[in-house]
Amino acid sequence: MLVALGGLLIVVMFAYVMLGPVIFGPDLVYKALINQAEEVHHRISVWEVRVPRVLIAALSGAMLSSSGALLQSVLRNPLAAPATVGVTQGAVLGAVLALVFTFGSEGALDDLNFLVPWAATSGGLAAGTVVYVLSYRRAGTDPIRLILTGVVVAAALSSVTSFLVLISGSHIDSIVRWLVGSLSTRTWDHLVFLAPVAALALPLVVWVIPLANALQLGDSTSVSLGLRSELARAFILMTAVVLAAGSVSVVGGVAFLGLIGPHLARTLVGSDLRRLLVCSALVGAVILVCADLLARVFSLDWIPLVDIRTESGSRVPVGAFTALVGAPFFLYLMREGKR
Amino acid sequence: MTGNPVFLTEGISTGYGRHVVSKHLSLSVEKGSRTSLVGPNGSGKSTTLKTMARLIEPLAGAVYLNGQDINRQPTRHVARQMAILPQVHEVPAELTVLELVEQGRFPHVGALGMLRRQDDDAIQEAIRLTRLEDFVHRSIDTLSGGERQRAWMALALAQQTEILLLDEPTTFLDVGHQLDLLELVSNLNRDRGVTIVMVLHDLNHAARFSDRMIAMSGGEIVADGPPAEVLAPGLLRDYFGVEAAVMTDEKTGSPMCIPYAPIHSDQDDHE
Repeated sequence: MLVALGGLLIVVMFAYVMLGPVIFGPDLVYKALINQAEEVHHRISVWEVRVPRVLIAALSGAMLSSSGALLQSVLRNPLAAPATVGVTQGAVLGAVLALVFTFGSEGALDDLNFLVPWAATSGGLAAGTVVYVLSYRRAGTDPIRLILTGVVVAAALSSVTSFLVLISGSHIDSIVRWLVGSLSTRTWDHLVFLAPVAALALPLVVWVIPLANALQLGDSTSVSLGLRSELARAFILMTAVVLAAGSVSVVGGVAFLGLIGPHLARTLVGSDLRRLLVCSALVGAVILVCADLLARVFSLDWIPLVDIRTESGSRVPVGAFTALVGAPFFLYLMREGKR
Repeated sequence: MTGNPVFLTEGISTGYGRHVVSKHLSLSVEKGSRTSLVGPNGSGKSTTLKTMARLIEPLAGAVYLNGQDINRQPTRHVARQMAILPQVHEVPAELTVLELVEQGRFPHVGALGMLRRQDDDAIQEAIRLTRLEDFVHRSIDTLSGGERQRAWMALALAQQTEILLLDEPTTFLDVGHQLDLLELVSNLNRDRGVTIVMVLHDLNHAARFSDRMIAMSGGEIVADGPPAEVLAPGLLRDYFGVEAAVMTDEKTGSPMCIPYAPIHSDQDDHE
């Protein structure tokens, strides 16, 4: 199953690089990839635009979805996701704050590329920390308190973001793209930020998989198995927060992916996190690559439906597709699961 | 008492935060024995077991496991000596019996060791003892109550400990599965010398499947000894509030009681 999913991911990523305003054949993509393109614009299209963007899509989709898988098991709640514990909202607020404060300085757009991911990651980490600390009582935290606190913190952060959107005036467009999640104009600069975060998170993920496997059996059972349950919970949450904050910091608050990815993965491989986490990452990567492929196709000029490009010439954000497709799909999963 | 106690508490207080359940509770449990904690609701028997299991810390004093403070040693070290079957279980959706039972090896191989598939003898034996061979790849949430409790029992058995604590293990089971589980527990004690401490609601089961009954009421131990001594009409009247007849079951030789009327004391009416 995992091998098949890995193969599927490679196929959709390759298709992603082939398709676009100009469709490249496999041979042309191959030549561009090995840096022997016949024309300069092939090389630029493939190397400078499509390859970094598809890598970011795959990586951030994998991170967001595996973060959701960790959260769902450690909080023992099928509705847990980065967006239900406030991490997404915290990261989005961080990004929006950075955007708002740099709008004044004209020509600072290049700096933005560096500043925004940092601000967003910090925002996500801060939100996660606040939720954990607020949930802490004498004996530690518990899943229900964490979720309730997370929902409240998420709502509070969202309202601050809404306020910023209202006062942002003419820049509302680029802020909303952060709220929804977008991959347009993402390039190597962003990948250079995202890849180290992922590399940092990977050993953490490997370490917390067995802890989460034990902890998802309940606090009593995990203590019986010799786990320091509160410490394990803190570690697992931290890992999930790092994954989600890193992903959101580059792509924005992509709706539903952190919720649906793990659910879909669970129907494929079950709840053992050794498989579930890998599967969630693959599913998340496939979904976001496909969704962004759709977003790009619908942004093309030859689609004669309506002009869905915004004033500033930017494209349909990928988050709009995950929300549009994700919501009904999630309902379908729930109905199927009940049978 | 003589012998070597696996559990020893001297004058501990138990409870949750500011809510004190027991004060000055002293008890010791002999190696290889079967002990049942019984008592009416709210008597403190489950709190006592949870404190012995280190699921909650004593408010004062210490629980000694094989001579060492249970809360002052690595919890994994304790987990290699003692397994617990808690009263309520969290069942993750879509987890198979085998994946559950595998987790029992956690205290032995550690976190990184658990990344590998565990399939040593302990798991196979736990599955065999609980007769779950046909269910290993079934998802736990598709099992019946009795099968499910056996799966959790198998998890505890896979830990291969010399002590097993059970908190009302028969509560949600029908009578056949109740006897089935208690017989399994007794066999573990008889064949492997596993020390058993369990909280039981059913007094007749406690009398039949243990060597020693500890009756609690209001956080205190009110009777302690062999079932034939503890299970007496006076105890049932004073602490359980029932008029009961106690006799010897001819088939099993153990004492049994038949409660036939609740007592409505004046004291209760005024409370």
